[in-house]
Parts: sequence; C-alpha cells; structure tokens
Amino acid sequence: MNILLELLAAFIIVITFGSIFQAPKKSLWLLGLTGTICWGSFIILEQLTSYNVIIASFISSVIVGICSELFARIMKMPVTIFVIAGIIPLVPGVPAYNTMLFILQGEYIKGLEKGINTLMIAGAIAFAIAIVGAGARYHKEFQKKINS
Amino acid sequence: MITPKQILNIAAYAGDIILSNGGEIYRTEDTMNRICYAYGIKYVDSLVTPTGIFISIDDGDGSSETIVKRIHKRRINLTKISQVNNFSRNLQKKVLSYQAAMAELRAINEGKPKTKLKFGLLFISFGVSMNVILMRANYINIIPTILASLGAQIVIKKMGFLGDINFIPEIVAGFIGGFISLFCYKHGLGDNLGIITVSAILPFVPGVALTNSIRDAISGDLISATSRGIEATLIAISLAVGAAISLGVLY
Repeated sequence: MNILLELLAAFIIVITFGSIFQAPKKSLWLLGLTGTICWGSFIILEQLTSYNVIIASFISSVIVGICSELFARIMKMPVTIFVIAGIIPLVPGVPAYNTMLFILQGEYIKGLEKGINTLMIAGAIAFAIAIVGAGARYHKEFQKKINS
Repeated sequence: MITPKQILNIAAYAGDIILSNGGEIYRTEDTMNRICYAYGIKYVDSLVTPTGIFISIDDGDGSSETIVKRIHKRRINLTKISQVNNFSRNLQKKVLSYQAAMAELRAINEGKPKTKLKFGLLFISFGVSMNVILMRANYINIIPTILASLGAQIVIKKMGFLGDINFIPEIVAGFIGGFISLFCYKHGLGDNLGIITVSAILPFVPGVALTNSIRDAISGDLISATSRGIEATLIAISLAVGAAISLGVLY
C-alpha cells in the first residue's frame, strides 16, 4: 500500500515538473511513467544494495536515461524533456539541506560529511546521464555504419 | 527564389528559439545545419555558446554570408524546442518559402498565452508536496509544504524587475520557502522541518542547467558545459543561502 502511494506520488511529482518546464502536453503521460519507473527501480535497488543510496541513485538514473531515450524515439521529441523531469525524484535535497544546517550550526566536520554525500549522489546521477547519452550516440553511429 | 541571406535568417531564428528556451548546444547547431542543408547550401559551419550564435554559410560559388546573434534572455520552455525540432525535420521533406518559414517560427516563438495562472501555481505546489511521501515523512507535512511552496512561487511571480537579475529569485525563493516552513513548524504544523523546506523549494532546483551541462560535456561543447555547470552550482548555493538566512533570522 505504501509502495503504491509512493509510486503515485512519483508520477504526480514528475508530471508537475513537466508542466513547470512546459513540456509538450502529449508527453506528460509518458513523463509520469518515467517517474514511476524511476522510483520503482529506486525502491527495489535500495533493498538489493542494503540502503546504499549512491549506487541505487546511479542505477535508477541509468534506467531513467534508457527509458527517456526510448520514449523520445517513440514520440519524436528531444530526449532532454524526459531526462530533466525523470531524475527529479532522485535529487538529493535532504542531504543538501542537512549540509547547510550543520555548517550554519558550526559543526563543520558533520557538514563536510553530508556535503560529500550530497556531491556523491549528484555526481552519480550526472554520470548516469552521461553514460546513457554516450551510449545513445554510439548506437546512432553504429546504425549509420550498418546502413551505409 | 530564396537568397542565402534569407536562409541564414531562418536558421538563426530557429537557433535563437532553441537556445533561449533551454536547449542543448548540440541540438542548436544540428538544427541550424539541417535547415541550411534542406535549402541546398553546401557548406555550413556554426559556433554556438550559451550567450550567442555565430553561423556562416557558403553556397559553393564564391559568396558567403555570416550572421551573429546575441542571446540575452534565457527561459525554459521545452514545448518550443520540440516544435522547432519538428519544424526542421519537416523542412527536409518539403521546403517552405521565406515568408512561410518565418511566419511558422514566429508562431512558435510567440506561443499560446498562458491563462490558468492561479490554478497552475496551486497544482505545482500540490505536486511538489508529494515529495514528502517520497521522503517517507509523516503525511501531515504535506500541508505546510503546500503553503510554503505557494508563498515562494507567488512572491517570485510578483517580483517584477528584480526577477530578471540572475540568482536573486533563487535567494528570495529559498528565504520565503524557509520562512513559511519554519513559521508552520514553530506553530505545530508538521514535524520535519528539513523535508518541508526542501520540498517547498524543489520547483527551483536547477534541473535543466545540470542536465544540459552534462549533455553538452559529452558532445564536446566544453565552454557551454563549464558555464552551465557553474550556473547550476550557483543556483543551488543561492537556494541554500536563502534558506540559511531565514533559519538564521528566526531559529
């Protein structure tokens, strides 16, 4: 029950971001689907990796990237529409807030620890997008070579 | 008969729309080149940075044309990017006359006027408050999140000319979001201040800048990648500073 509610929440939040960034109206349902897949894979990976958020974020970002590439090809729309909104549920907001709070309270060591954690999660998401993007480019070149 | 100068105008206008609505560098260059090739130009070269477009064409018998376009305003509207993308793809199948092409691009650029402003903000606040469920906090936190997010967004909308200065809207949004969250928390509404604040300022996270920065980096546009990466970092820091000010004032 809880998991279903979380999936629904992910669906709504990603559609919301689609409308903030004014994504095309036709793409909104697939956007929501991307968000649901993203959060579903995150829940499963969290269990598998015994709550290692960094690895879970990395792999679910890879999944988001692959979904986005597929959906973008189906809908004939830019890939960024799907990627930008799809990674929103994974954004490390709470660690970033804690970093700020600890530094504000003068506990620099704890703040640094949280800050590194935040940067690791953000970096994991970034690298996942980069890897999928590079893979898509490779795929494109590969197809060109086959066709010619 | 269309002249090279007119072709260049069409291409530069299309590039302008894509770049000023949050497209990647690769997509801008690719679209402009595709439009020029569709009109039968042999040699096209373009250099695009986040703040300007340089494009030059050569029709193969000695005459060349160049255009420079400066981009001042940058907003985010993915619909327009998608429409220009489709426009350039359709152009390859059937070329349009200069007037028709410019009219179509102008229609894309002006777009439809937005009407549902008040309802939209409420919808965005509600959607953003779903982050509370994702963070597995107590569901009572949804109410202060909606209030804080709505307050921050209304203030940003009503800010006027201050909203055009970079990073000021983010600091203000962080401050207002943090302030309302803290106010609700102090009066017993909600039990997790961190999650309320983070969810309230979630609409302002630099998602587009971050994604574009990475995608530019992998396609080799290093100038744009570094500048957009710095933009994303500064926006995140501005939000944190805004929230920190509100905590420092009231805590």
